[in-house]
Amino acid sequence: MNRLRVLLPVAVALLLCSAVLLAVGVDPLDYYAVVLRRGLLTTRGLQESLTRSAPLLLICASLLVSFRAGLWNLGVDGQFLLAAVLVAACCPLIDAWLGRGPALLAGLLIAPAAGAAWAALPAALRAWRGINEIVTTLMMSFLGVSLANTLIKLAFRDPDTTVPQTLTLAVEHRLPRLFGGTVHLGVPLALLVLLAVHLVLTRTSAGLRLRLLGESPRAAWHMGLAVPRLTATALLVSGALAGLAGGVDMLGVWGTMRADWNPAYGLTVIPVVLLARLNGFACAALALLLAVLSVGSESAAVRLGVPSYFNLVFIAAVLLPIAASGIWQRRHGR
Amino acid sequence: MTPPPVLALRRADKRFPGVIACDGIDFALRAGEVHALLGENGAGKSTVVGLLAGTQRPDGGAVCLDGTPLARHSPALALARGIGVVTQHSVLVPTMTVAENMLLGGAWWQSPARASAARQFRDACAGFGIAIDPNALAGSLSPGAQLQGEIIRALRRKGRVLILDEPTSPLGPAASAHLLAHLRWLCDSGLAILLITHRLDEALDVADRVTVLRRGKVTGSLDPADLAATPRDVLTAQIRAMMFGVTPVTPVTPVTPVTLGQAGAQGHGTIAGQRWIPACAGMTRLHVAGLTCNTLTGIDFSIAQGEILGVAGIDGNGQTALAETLAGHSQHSTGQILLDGTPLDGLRVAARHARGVRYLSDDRIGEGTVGALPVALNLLLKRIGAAPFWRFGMHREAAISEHAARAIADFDIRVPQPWARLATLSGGNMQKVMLARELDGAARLIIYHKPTIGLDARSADAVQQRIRQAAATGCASLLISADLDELLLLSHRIGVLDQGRIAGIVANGPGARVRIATLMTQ
Repeated sequence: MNRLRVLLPVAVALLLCSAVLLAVGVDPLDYYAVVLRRGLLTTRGLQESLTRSAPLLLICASLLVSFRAGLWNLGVDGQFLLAAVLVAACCPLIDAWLGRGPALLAGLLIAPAAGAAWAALPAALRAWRGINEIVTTLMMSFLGVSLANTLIKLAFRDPDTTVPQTLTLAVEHRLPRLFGGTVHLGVPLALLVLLAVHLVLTRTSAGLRLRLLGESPRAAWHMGLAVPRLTATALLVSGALAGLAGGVDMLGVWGTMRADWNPAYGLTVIPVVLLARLNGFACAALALLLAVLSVGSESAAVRLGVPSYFNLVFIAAVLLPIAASGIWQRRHGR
Repeated sequence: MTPPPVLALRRADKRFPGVIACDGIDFALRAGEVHALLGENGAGKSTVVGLLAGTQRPDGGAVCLDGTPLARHSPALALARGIGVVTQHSVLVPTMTVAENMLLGGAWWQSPARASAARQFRDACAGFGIAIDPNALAGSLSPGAQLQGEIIRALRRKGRVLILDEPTSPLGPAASAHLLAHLRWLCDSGLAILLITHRLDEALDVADRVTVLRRGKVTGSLDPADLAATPRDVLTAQIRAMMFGVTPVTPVTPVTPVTLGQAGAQGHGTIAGQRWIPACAGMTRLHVAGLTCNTLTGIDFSIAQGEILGVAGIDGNGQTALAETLAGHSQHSTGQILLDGTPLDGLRVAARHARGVRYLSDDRIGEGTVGALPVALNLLLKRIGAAPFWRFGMHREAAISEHAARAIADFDIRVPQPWARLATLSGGNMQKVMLARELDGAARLIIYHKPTIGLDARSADAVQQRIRQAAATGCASLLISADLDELLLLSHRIGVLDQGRIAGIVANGPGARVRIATLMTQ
C-alpha cells in the first residue's frame, strides 16, 4: 500500500509530463531515454548523479530532523551557502598552513557550525518567544544568501581571479575520490548520516521525544518534556546538517565558491522529504532519483532543447497527485 | 387571556451520544420578565440556550416564537427574530473598535458604515444609561464594559429576547451588581430575559421566575407569586434541593463531621448502591499550604495516604491551575507543596513525576495521549528514555511490547495489538491507556482531572474502580470532577473550589451533598 502511494503519483507524473513534452513538440520517450541514459545508465552519468546526490542526502537529513519535530526549517539554502562560503574561504588557507588532513577535518567541523549558527536566531525566537519559524528561517535564508555573496566580494575574494570567487582548494586536496572515479568520500558519508538520522528518529528515545513534539506540542509539554530546549535543539541540528551539506559539496566537488553560485537545493528537497513521508530510506531513494533526474535533464537540455528546469516540472507533477491522494484519504476517513 | 410567551421550548428533546441533554423540556420566556435557569454542571442549561439560539436543533418537540412552532431556526434567523445571545466568553474581536464589532455579521455587499454604527452605539449606550466609547478597541475595555457592549450588540436588531449564559462569572461583585440592575431595567422596557447563573442569590435578586434543571429534566419552577410569598432562606433550600436532588432541609443545618474510621484495613465500600466509603487516617502524604499563583489564592489542604480528596466546583474556578501547579506544569508564586514532607517547590514536571506525582489530564485527546503514536509508546510517554525500555537511548522493542501487553491485560484495554495507533481506540480505552500510564506502581500522589468525562457508564465504572484500587494501595488522590455524584461516590472529603479559593472542605457522609451544594452556590 505504501509503495503504491509513491509509485502511483510517479506514474501519473510521467503521464502529465509526457503531455507537456508533446505539447512543446518533443517525443516524451526520447526525452525519458536521454534522461535515464545520461543520468543513470552510463558510468560517467551514474558517477555524476551519485556525486550530485551527496548534498541532497544531507539536506534530506536536515529536513527530516526539523519536520519530525513539527518545525519548518525553510532556511536551508542560507545555512547551506554560508557554510559553503566559510569552508571555501578557510580550507585552502588551512590546507596551505597545516596540510590536507587538518583542512578537510576543519571543513567538516566549520560547515555544521556555520549552518547551526545561522539557524540559532530563528531557533531561539521559536523556542523562547514562540515566533513562527517558517517566517524567520525564510527571512534568515534570504539574508544568508546575500551575506554569502557579499562575503566573497568583500572579504574572501581571490585577488587573482576576474570573477569574484574564493581561493581554490586544489583538486587533489579535496575529499578523496573512491575507486578511481569521480565519486568522492562525501557521498557514502552523506548516505550514512541520513541513515543514522533515520535510525535516531525511529529507534531512540531522542527520536521519540522529537516525534512527540512534532505530533503534539501540548502533549509534549504535558508529558514533562523541556519543549523550548527540544525545539531549539531540533532547529540547530537541522541547521548543522544543512551546513554540512554545503561543506561536503565544497570539499568534494567545487573547491571554490563563486559569488553567484546558489544551487537552491533546499527548496528542491523539501517536496522530496514530504513525498517520502518523512521516511529516511524513501528519502535516500528519492534524493538519488532527484539527482539522476537533474543530471539527466541537464544533458537532455543540450540534446533535445528542453530546458533543464523541466525536472522541476516533473517533481511538481509528482507532488500534485500525492497531495490529491492525501486529500482523498482525509475525505474518506483513512 | 395572557399573550403567549415570546420564546418557548415545547417538550423539547435533545440527545447526544450517551447523554440525554434535554428530556421533554417545557420552558417559556415572557416579555417583561427575567427568567433564571439554574442547574449544576451538565444539567442541560447550555443545550436549552443552544436550542433557543438556533445553534442546535431539537430531536423532538419544538421551539416556539409567539406561540408558533418554528420550522427553521438558526443563529442568523435568531438574530433576525430579535433573539440576542451573550455567551460566557467574550465574542467581541479585541483588535477592532467597539463600533466595528457592531458591524460584524452585516451583509457582505454593504460597505461598513462606521460613523453611523458609532452613532447608533452611542445612542444605545445613552438609552441604557451607560457610557462606552464606540471608538475604543474592544480589547481595551473592562470585562464589565465588554459585556455591556455585547448586550448592545446582541440587541442591535430590535431585540425582543436576551439570553445571558453565566454573564457574571468574569465580573467582580460591583460590576455584577451593576449588570443585574441594568438587566432589571432592560426587562422593564419589555424585553424577555433568560439568565443562566449558578449563584442563587443573584438569581433570586433579579429573577421574576425560576426554572431548575437536573439531568436534562425540569425538576422545579417557581413563578412570581412563589418568589414573592416565600422567605429567601426557604427558597434557597428548595432550589438547592431541586438542583442537587436532595430532600429540602430548611434552613440548612451544619452536619456534624463524620467520625473517621480506621486506616485502610477495612477496605472500601462497593460501588453498587453504596455511597459511603470508610474514611482513612494514614500519614499525611501531600500538604499544600498557602498555595497562590495567577488564578489560585491561598489554597490549603492535605491528603493522607490512601485518601481521596474530591474537588468540586463550577468549571473555570481554578481546577486546571490547581492540577497543573501540583503536577509542575506551572509554578506557584507563594506557598508550599510538601510530598511526604519534602518540598516540591521549583521542581518541574519530570522531576515531580520521578517523585511519584501523577496527573491524569482532563484533555484526553489534546494532551493526554498522542493519536498518531502506537498504544505501546503512549503507555510510556512520561518515561521516555527510562530503563528497561530504552538502553543507551535505543528502543528495546521486546521490553516495550511486554510492558504494553501487561498494561493491556491489567487494565482491560480493548486493542487489537500493542502497536496499533492510539487514535483507533474508543474514548473509554484511551482513558484506560492514560490510567495505566499514571498508575504505574511508583505513584504516590495522583491528580485525576475529570477522569470519567465523556465515558459511557461501564467505562466510567471501570475507571472509578481503578481510582479506588489505587487509593487502597496507599496513593493519595486528588479527584477533580464536575460530577457531584462521582465525588460523593469516591471521595473521603470534598473541597469546593470557588474563584481560585477553597470555599470549604466537607467530610463525605450523610448531608455532605447539601453542604457542598451550599458552598457551590454561595
